[in-house]
Amino acid sequence: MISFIETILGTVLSSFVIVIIATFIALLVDFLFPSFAKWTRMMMIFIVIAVVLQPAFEHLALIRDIAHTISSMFIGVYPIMTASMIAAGGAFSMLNFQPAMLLFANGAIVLAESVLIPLLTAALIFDLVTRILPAVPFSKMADLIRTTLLSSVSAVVAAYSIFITVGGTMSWALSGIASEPIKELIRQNVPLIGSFMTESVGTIGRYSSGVSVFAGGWFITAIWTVALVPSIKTLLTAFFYRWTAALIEPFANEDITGILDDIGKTLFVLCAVSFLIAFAFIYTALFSVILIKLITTMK
Amino acid sequence: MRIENGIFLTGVLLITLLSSTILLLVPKETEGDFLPIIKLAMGIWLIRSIFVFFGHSLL
Repeated sequence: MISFIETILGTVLSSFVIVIIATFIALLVDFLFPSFAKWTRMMMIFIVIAVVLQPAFEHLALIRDIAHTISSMFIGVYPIMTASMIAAGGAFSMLNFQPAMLLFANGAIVLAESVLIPLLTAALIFDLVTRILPAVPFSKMADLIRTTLLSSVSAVVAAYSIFITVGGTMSWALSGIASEPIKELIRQNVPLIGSFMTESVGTIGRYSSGVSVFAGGWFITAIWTVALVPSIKTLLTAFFYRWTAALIEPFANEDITGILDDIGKTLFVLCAVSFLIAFAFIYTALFSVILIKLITTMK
Repeated sequence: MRIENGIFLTGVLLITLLSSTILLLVPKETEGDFLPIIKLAMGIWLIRSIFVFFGHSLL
C-alpha cells in the first residue's frame, strides 16, 4: 500500500513541483520586467499544458484501456456464462443473478468507453481553451458536459441498485448506524462526486455481501481491491490537482490555478466513470467465481 | 463529439492556440480589432461542425 501511494506521488508530484517552481519564477520575472507579463502568462500556460496535463491524460487513457479490456473480455465470456446459467437451472435464482443484469453491467462499460470518456476529454479541452483565450469562452459547454456525464453515470448506478435489490435477497452488512458517519464524511469532503461514491460503494457492498456466503470475505476483499485501484488512483490524482491549485493560489496567476482546478474537477468525474467499470468488473468476477463453485460442488 | 476522430476538438484547440499567439504579437491597440476576427473564425468552425454532425438536415 505504501509503495502504491509512493508510485502515484512520484509520477504526479514531480510534475507539480515543476509547476510550483515555474509559477514562482514567472512571479519573479513579472516583478523584474512588468512589460513582459503577457508573455509569462502564455509561457506558464504552455508549461502547464506540457507538464501537468500529462497525468490527467494518462488517467483518461488508463480508464479507457481498462474499459476496452473488460468489454472485450465480456464479449467472449457472455455466451458461456448465459449458457451455464441456463444449464444450472434454479441454482442462481436464489442469488438474484439475471443475464439481463450482466448485459446491463457491460453495456455500461461500452457506454463509458465510447461516449463518456471521449466527452470527458472534450470537457478537458474546452476548459483549457477557455483559460487560454478568455475572449472566446467555452465554460458553459464544459460545465454542461460534466454535469450531464455525472447525472447519466448516477442514473446508471441507480438502475444497478434497482436491479440488485428488486429480488430482495441481498442485504448490506455495512448498513446501519456504524457506517453512517463515514458516509456523511465522504459525502461532504469529496467535491462533486462524494454522495455518488457512497451510494455506488453501498450498492456494490449490498451485492457482494450476499455473495460472501459463497466466496468468502477475503476473496471479496481481493476482488474489491483489484477493481477499485484505478478509481482510487484517479481520485488521489484529482486531489493532487486541487491541492496544488490551493497551494499556489496566493502567488500564481489566476489562469493557472483555474486550469489546475478544472482538471481536478474533470478527474473527479472520471473517477465516477471508473466506478461504473469497477462495478461491472466486480459483478462479472463474482458471477464467474460462483459459477465455478457451483459447477465444482455439484459434480 | 467524436466526429472524424476528434477533428472538431483539434480545430477548436488550433484556432485558440494560433489566435492567442497572434494576440501576443500584435500591439495592444489593435487587439480590439483582432478579437472579432477570432470570434468569426470560431463561429464558422462551430457552424461547420454542427453541419457535419447533423448532415445539413438543419437547413
